Amino acid sequence: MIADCRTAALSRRRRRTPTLLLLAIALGMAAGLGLAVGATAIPPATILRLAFAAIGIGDAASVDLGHAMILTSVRLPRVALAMVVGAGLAVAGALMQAIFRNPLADPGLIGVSSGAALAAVALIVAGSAIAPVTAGLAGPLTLPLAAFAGGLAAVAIVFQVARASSHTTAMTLLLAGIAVNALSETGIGLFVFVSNDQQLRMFTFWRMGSLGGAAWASLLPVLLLIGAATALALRLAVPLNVYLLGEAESGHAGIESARLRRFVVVLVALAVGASVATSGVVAFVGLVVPHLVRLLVGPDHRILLPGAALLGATLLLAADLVARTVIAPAELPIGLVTGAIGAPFFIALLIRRDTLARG
Amino acid sequence: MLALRGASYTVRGRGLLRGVSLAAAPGRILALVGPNGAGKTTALKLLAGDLAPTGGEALLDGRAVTAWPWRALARRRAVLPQHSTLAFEFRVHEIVEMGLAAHEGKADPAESVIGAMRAADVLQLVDRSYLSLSGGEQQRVQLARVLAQIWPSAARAGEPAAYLLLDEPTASLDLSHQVAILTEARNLAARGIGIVVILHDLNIAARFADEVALLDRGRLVASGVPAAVLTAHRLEEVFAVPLAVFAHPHAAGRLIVATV
Repeated sequence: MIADCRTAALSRRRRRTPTLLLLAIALGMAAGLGLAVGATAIPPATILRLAFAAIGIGDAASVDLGHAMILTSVRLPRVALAMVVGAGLAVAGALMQAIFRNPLADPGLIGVSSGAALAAVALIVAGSAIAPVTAGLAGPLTLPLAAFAGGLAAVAIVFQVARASSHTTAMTLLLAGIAVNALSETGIGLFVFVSNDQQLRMFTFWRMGSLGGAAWASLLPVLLLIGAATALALRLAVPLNVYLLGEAESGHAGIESARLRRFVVVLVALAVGASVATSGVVAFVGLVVPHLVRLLVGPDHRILLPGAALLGATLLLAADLVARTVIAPAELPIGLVTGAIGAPFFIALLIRRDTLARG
Repeated sequence: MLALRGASYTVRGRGLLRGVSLAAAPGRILALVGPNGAGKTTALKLLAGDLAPTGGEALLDGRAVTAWPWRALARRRAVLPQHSTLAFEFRVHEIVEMGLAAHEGKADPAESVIGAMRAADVLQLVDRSYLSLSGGEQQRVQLARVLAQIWPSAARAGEPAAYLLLDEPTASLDLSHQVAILTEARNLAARGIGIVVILHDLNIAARFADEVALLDRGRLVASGVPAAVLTAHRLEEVFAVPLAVFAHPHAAGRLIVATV
């Protein structure tokens, strides 16, 4: 019996490591494809030669200068941004689903996306009046910074509302999030109402999302924020597993759920805020990716969180590849691509869940 | 010792518990009995540290239960939930491993998990999905999880005693599983675990408990050995139902029967 128990635990682990490895390989392939494919195709040999040169093996003298330029200043930051944002959204989605103990929860539930959108539309519409001031402050980073601040502010309000209520449970947090989302949408509607055509167009495109703005300057802070949030989330894997047992049950097992929830919401706000700020609202990655990973490896956060990061990065790379190639030289907003793939998938999940429940 | 000392709990002017004193001792089973609304669950929540008493004290080894750090408290007392609402497809051994969250590598995980699974008789379910189990099986898995949580204290001599709180563990079980879970409680008490259990079935309480605390409308009516507490006269008064108490035809102990 003891042997049975040990082998069962091991067999599960044995299945998991290869899954993570396969996900990592898929990510590597997607990244390679993202670097090679585009308006100018870059041969894989060139990419490899530049990569080896970067770590001091061989030299890049024989490489076409134009190719090298495109690769380092356009493709590489864009691929890196897609990976970081995809990983961040997927991990945030897994965290939200844990916090609400509901596999259908989404990072948008705590108000961060709508708060960021409100700040963005405010800046776009009212910004022309204060443009000289803001442009002097942060230049091209003004919009991302404003959106990031707006997202965090919305989450802070959700927190205060939830705390003012006598019971700070996951349910209160959810209701406060719904209320603040409704308020943000109203504010967005107000700004849209008074906007001119050009402002409206700019906001609409910002909101549908794009990785086209990827540049090294804006990439670094996003990388740090999402990297730190993901690393901290991984350390919470065991408490998050226990948290799923329920509010009272996790407390009895030694996990203070209110404190864990506060900390996780801060991590989600930082990760989603950073990704919305640089890439707009990328729909469905946070909802669908954790689901897929759970189907592959089960709900244990020790494996779910790294798996979600890998698969989120891979899927957003693939979506961006579609976004910038199907109607080249123009680009589709990436939110449209993830929505077009994600929404039908979500419907399929709902139907499957329904049949499972029935039978 | 895990104890209430003159503990009261009042919420919005309603006294759910009034000046109750009772104690769980290592190696003994204390059953809380009484009608609905008597304060049994409130008493258990005070002992668990879910609630802090509004009057009097709830103490673990002389220190207020709610003053214990979360993890340290979890290593000393476990609570079996009445039913769980888990929506995720965990395997049985993953659920049991969750009991070790408060130990952070201090305990031998395999020893605790396997010991607890054997004690709760769920070793054969080890790789099954929790959601595919029957209600009774799920409860035994939850029992294994809370046992794993206090296993290091229960398994080693010299460790401070651990306490297990059970809120109506027999509620959703058939007769054979009711007997099985209380037999298991007896085995755990033999290992030195102190057990507090809410029971509705007075005969089961009389059969398995070392001590019974009879509660009514927030007050402690009587406590002590079952034979002294569960008298026909007292039970008729508390439950407002005519009762008869017989000697058991072929075992030690008595039988309590409503005579309506």
